[in-house]
Amino acid sequence: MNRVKEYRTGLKISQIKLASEIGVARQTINMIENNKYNPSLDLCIKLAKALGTDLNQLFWEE
Amino acid sequence: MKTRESFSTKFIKYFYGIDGELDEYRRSELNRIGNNAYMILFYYLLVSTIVVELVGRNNFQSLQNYLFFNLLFLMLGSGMYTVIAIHKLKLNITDVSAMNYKDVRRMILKRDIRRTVICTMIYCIFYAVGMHKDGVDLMSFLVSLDMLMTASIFATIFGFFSLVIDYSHLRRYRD
Repeated sequence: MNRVKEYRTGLKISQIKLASEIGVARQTINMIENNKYNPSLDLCIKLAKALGTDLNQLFWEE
Repeated sequence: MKTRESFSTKFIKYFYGIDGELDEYRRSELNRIGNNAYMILFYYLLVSTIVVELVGRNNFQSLQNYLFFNLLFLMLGSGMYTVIAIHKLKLNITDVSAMNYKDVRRMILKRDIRRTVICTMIYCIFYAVGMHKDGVDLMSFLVSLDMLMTASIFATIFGFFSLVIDYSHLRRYRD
């Protein structure tokens, strides 16, 4: 489980906007949010930067 | 964040009919689909070559049939598998903002016209060469009314379906 959707909706940005900001397709964001695709470390870092957080907050499970 | 696409990326997108971003998710799925198609083709060729070696040796008709079925399997077997897999995963969907929607449609129209002209020319050449083998004069057939009619029908059908399919992959969104 990741918290990409939680952070994205918190910032009130759409999947499309987030996708174009980090250079991926909207479907990719959708797949990541629904835990159907495990992104590479590179993409995780881009996501964290775009959402103004870090990898621990986004992907680490307690 | 746009990066310049390499030739290989452009070719992969063209080959699989993807207009949008080719990111890591799409690339990994295309790799998986391509790998499956390769394995299917590999075993088909292995088995069919053994069969034709046993059955069709010194038999020209069998070799012709073999070539025909190879082409059929390539188009209907692995080709259809690839198209269906890409469609199911929605890898060919392109999100377009409402502001750019008309421009993108116009760009697709121009591209499809260009593609239709090229494919029609290739089709005409193959058709004329086939007729030439049956004893028809190549040059006079290429400019004949029969050829013109065939080319027009082919171009209309090909162009129409290309356009409908490409337009159906567009998803409009509002900013």
